[in-house]
Amino acid sequence: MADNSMSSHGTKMNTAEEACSLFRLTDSDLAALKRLGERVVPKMDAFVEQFYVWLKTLPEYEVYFPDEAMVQHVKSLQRDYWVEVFEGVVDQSYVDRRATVGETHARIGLPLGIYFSAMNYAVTLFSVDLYDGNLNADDYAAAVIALNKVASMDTALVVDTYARISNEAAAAQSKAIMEMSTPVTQIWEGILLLPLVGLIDSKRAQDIMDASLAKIADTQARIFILDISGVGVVDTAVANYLIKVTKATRLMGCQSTISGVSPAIAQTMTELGIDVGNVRTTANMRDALSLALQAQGVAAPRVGD
Amino acid sequence: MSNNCLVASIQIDLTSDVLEQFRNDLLTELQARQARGVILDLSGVEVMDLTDFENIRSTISMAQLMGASAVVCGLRPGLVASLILLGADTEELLAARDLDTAFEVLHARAPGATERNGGSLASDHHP
Repeated sequence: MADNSMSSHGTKMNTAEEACSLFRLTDSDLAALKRLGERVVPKMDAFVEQFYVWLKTLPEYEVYFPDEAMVQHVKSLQRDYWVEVFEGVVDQSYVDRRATVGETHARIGLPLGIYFSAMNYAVTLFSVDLYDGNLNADDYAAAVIALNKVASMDTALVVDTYARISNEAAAAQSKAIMEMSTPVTQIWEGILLLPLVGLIDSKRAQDIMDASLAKIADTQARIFILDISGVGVVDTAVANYLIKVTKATRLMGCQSTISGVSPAIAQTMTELGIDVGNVRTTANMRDALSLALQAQGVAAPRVGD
Repeated sequence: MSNNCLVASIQIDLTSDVLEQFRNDLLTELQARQARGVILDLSGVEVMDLTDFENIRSTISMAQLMGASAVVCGLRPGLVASLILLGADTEELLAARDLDTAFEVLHARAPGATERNGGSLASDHHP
């Protein structure tokens, strides 16, 4: 599901052609870039050093570069990246490698602000600080424009992946939370238990309904215990949701018991005039379980024996 | 089904014509065979609106007026959820998961309904 939503809203940058056309990156841009490359690639080591001098001034540096080996590794990746940029070839593998960079950044949780400012600083270094002035004015202008286009395109590719991965993580998380919020469990042959904890709103009530009915259909359960001892507030709306669930399970041939009705909940429900109909309610889960086991023909051990 | 009970199964999409025909067949059959119990197998029904549901419920009331106990069985989870959300009145309705449990429910209600006497047959509404 996450994949579909991403591809529908994401910019069309899956192939090298799409990425180039989005940033109006032409062959003459790439040629100009290559000419600038001839001037700056020999100074690549100087670039990397200067770049890291700047990077070290950032407060986040320590967090993302905990040891020297890491720094050396990233430095060499950085070097390879810019050499590649100045070769002036944007093909599918180039685009794929940018996606990998985005994945890495998303995984370590690098703030995008740092990534943007680093790209910007690198472009400035190449076009101003390290440039030796040996290109004619037209070539230089074309090269700077091309460099900006490439830098923006690469940033977009990285951010696109970064956003996709972050969204996937968020989607997985909300799915996990949803599953955790409706743990319908078979605790005995024909008996299902759903302990509810926290707040119940209409969205969650719907989840509870769907999960319960699906599980009843799966397990052929005859008895469904809905334990509400962990539900903080039972007002008219919540009570109606619960009653709807019990009605629905009855239509599936499954008898519901609402357990864990505390004195406070019992008082509120009566004061609010909530009619639970013929739904069986018990004060604690133990009683509900004991009734359920009896109904299933299991001799429930007497408490205290 | 050779118990003293009718098993009626609806396996097509519901329309008011289908339900009307079904009701007539069921009640006629009920009288002819002197059945004491009716099981409505709705496992083949994928969608049902409130009108269809009310229609089935009144058919059940009619069967009850004729002295039979009635149980619906095989309702699908999605169908149940939507009926409840639509606010269907399910108070008096007996329901069971499948045919086997429906027989058990009937037996608990009206023991006579499931005694074997070979008197009744299934009435099936197939396409």
